[in-house]
Amino acid sequence: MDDDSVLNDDSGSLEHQACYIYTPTSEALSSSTPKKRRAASSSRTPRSKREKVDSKNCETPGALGHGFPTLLRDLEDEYAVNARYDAFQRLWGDVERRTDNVLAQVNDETLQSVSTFASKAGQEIYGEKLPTGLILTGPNIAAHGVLFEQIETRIQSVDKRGRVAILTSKDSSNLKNVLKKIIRCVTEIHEGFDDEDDIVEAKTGRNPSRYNYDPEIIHDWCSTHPDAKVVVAVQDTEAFDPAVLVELISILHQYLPKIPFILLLGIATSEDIFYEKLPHSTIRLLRGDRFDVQRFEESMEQVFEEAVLSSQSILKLGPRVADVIFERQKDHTRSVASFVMALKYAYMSHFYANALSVVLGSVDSEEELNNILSDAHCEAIRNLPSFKPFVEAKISTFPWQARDLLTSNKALKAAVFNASKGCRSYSTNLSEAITVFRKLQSIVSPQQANDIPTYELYSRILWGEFTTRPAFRDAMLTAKKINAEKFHALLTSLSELPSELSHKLSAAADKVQELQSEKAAKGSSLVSEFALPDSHRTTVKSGRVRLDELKSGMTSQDTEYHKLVASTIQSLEKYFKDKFKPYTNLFLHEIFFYDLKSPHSQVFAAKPRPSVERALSRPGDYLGCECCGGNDDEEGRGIEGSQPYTAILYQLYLESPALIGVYDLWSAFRMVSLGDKADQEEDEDDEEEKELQAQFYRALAELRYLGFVKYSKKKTDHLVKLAWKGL
Amino acid sequence: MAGPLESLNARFPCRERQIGDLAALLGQDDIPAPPVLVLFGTEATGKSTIAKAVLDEIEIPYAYVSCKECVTARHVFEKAYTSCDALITSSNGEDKGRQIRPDSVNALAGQLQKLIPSSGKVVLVLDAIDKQREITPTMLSGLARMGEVIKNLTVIMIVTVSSTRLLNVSEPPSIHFPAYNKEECVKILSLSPKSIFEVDEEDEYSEEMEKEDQWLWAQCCSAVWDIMGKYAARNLNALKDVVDELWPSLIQPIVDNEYGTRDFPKLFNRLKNEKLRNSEESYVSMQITKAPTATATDAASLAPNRAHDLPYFSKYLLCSAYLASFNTARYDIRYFSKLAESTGKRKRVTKRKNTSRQLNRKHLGPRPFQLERMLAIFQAILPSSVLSSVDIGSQIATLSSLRLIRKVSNVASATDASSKWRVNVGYEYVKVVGRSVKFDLETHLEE
Repeated sequence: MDDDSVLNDDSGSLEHQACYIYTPTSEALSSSTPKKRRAASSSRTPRSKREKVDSKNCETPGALGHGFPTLLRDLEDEYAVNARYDAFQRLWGDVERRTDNVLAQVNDETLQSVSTFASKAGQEIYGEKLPTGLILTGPNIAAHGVLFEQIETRIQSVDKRGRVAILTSKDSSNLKNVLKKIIRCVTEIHEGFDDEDDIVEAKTGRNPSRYNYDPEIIHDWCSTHPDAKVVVAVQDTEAFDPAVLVELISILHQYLPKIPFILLLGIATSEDIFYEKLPHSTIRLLRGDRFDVQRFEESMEQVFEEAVLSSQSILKLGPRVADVIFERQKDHTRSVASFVMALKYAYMSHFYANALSVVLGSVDSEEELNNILSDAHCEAIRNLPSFKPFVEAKISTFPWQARDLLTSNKALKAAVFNASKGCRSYSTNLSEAITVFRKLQSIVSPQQANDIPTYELYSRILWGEFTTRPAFRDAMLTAKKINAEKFHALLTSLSELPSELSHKLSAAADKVQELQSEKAAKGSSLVSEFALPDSHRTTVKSGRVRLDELKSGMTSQDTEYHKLVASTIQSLEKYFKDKFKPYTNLFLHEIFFYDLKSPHSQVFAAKPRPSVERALSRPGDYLGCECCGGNDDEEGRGIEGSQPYTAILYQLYLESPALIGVYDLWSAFRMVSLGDKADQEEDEDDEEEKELQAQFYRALAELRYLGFVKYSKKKTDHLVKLAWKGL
Repeated sequence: MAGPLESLNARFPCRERQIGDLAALLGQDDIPAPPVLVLFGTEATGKSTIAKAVLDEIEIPYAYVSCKECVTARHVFEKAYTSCDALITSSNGEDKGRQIRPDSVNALAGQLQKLIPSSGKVVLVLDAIDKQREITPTMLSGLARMGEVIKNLTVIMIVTVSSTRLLNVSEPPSIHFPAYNKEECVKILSLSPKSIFEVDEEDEYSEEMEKEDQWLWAQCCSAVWDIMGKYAARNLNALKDVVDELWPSLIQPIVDNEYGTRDFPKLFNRLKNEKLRNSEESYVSMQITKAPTATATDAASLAPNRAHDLPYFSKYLLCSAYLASFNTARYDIRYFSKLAESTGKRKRVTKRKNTSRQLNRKHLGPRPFQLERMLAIFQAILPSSVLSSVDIGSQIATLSSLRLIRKVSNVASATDASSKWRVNVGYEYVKVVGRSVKFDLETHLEE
């Protein structure tokens, strides 16, 4: 308000101000701030429509402490809201705990070997060389801090091998600062490090006081701590200033006879790049070992199995959202931490926005479930897409049950309880079958099992189309063809896994063993018809003759074995086909599988630049008004005078070359904005003209603020184009 | 006088002259020592060791400061003073309460003048003073003249190269330590041969075994010198490293009773075939870690899996950064336009370029490019288009903190479209990265 009055008071001086606040006069200009219109999507499920309605109700944050809204058009009672919140806390807490346990285990092997290295490294092994551990950490920067903290705790607190000083590239401004940091970390003296060349006063009378960067301080410390190693760990070697690193290494090497230094270097890219950066004379001072951190794929697989597949996790990811999450992992982040975040977000949004998620909190007790489900809940369940096929299936067999389900809440509740049991057993069977399949794959074609991790199979399996995939058929075919010994090994290892087939498989394994020993007595090994070598004869006939020859050589054990292989593979295939049914067949799958993909793609991969560009080039999409021509066709109608001024200017900007004359831009802008009237001579005094010019400057300033243009230094009154659309 | 020097000569062969010179300059009681003495020579020629040994032998009190250990010039002064102080107080047995820290050459000279008694010689050895990190133009000459100001003090400076410019003192007495040649190296290394067989405590180390050890060790040293002395193992320490490294594999056949100890040619040939052929380079570059000892099949199957991978789009970003650095902007349309391009024109241009003798872009090093250009190339080379999102931005940030690409300009915002960047890794690395996403770098790269 103040600004306005200033403007009004001395409007004469406006021309000389670099910037002023413009208050539009006409009503058309003072339209309310553009509100983002939700992009229409045809694939919206009825549930999400309902959510949208709900979301209006929950504009005001709930009076409940946790901020969960009341859903179902405010029909949900407070108890259910709280129950939803509690269920979220309980279920997610459980998943988080298990995931953390897995993650703590992941680096254990590396930590163990680094710690052993630290304790062993000494003059006996490495002589005059500085013991150096290269830790190949992988390019996921976010995980490095955690890893090095773990190393520190492990060496310093758990195994008590000495002190660890962790250096990051932020410390690498100069050698003095690096040494100061090391000394501070090792000796835990904190006074006297603030000033440039401060002196550290000695604590004990025996040692003289020294400069605060003098490594002798560590030497003094070492004399009171015999056997303690001093580990200097550089967390991000690539970003660390190479010149400082070289000096640091030479200093550490100089003091090696006095202080048992150990250097740990975290290498995110590759050893070769690291070697290229340092001079040979420096590398020659180092000798040591390399440690590999577990790869992303392996740790991801473990976390996935624990957090998603495990039967303890009641809420599962649906295939669509799983695809979104895993694609983002593969393409963009490759970090386990971000997967856990995505998973948590899935839990959060499920329990926040889906009133029926309350069912998940009480799957174990029917009584509780009956208590918590209100009439509104029942109505919502009847509106689920999976309810219709469920009822329709009942009609043909038990019509009265179908009626009950529609009319009686009690019957519905019972059905819900049974269905939730069904969902859970489906998930349990699924994870069992996946484990069995992975085992099979890892035995028959280890290469393929290595290439495709479980989590990438997951969504295919949930869609129920996995059994038609080449990966599945390949595995089955190869399983038929492997030799008897391997087949026996396969059967035994599969029968060890918990599944309904395990009995049958172990019986088959015994049988194979028996046949094998019988055959071995004759001095040959078992062969099934599947395993006969492919004929390389040129004609079909000769191939067949050859095959017949081979077949005639087979004994009765062989034929029996052949039958066994065929039946086993068949039952395995049947088992997989049975278990890998599409999850959409299940009643209540909307509750047990979270499968909304748009929240994830919007929240985790925000697209600020495309959004701004879209808003400016097609303002109608967001404004939704008639005048901007957004509504009718998909391409938009190009530039129009009725669009917001910044949008007009932006579209003109898109058409211009890299160097833009401001006057040209203004003429074009005037042309578009005034339309027919533009033919008239420019009149300096015309009010409308003046206002338009002001709008032009404002729009230009906005473009500049958004980083699209800057003033050119090469040519006066010209702008440089900085951003191209679509990048 | 001859006696102690004899033993020194036995300990340090091939340095009779230098030892003699040092002893003559410092060790004569009736002749005053020179104020400054320069010992110079390349790395690993025994300068420091011999200086210390001679000073020990002729029993002159000396303070030794290794300047490589010191971080700043003040640190050097402090160390020089405290070590001199320790030298004199320990002999006098009195304790000074307050600590003195000279922070300039002047102050050091003043303090030392007060400290050093007027009788008897004191030597201050400044080792590798030319390698000091914070060297000022006057510091060396100041230190060199300290001996002129202070009676009885001799400053020994150990440097790599000597020149009159260095100290601004006209012709200070200096002793050159030349690099060892082959015979000398072998002779020195032969002083401490490694043994072939592990000697148990009960087994006595027979003279015969010792002879065998010595013979084989000397053979090995001279053979390694012949192969690598020219480029990899130029000095004694490097040679020793290489021999130490090779020794266990050399003697393995003897331990396994395949060859006798005198079959050196056979042994060495075998060693050459096994180790040197493949990894000769690794000895030149001196890797920190030993090559993976896993068996060949094991390593081959594990190798591709062990590598940590970049995310898919990061790889493409890196490729596009490389292309943006090594292609010129004006040819971008030709290489990256998705429209059909007339190949005839392209051929003609490349021909013309061949005649004008231009250097290959690869050899000229990466040039800076604007971020916007890299993003454009990124979109052009991607098999399917992707909307830019926060994830792309964060991947650029990750690549830059891994120093695979590097910001050149000092624009405040890192992701400003006009900020200049440069790729920071070589062709080989990017090629491998490109291959892993089935992107052929070569076809998009300017000749």
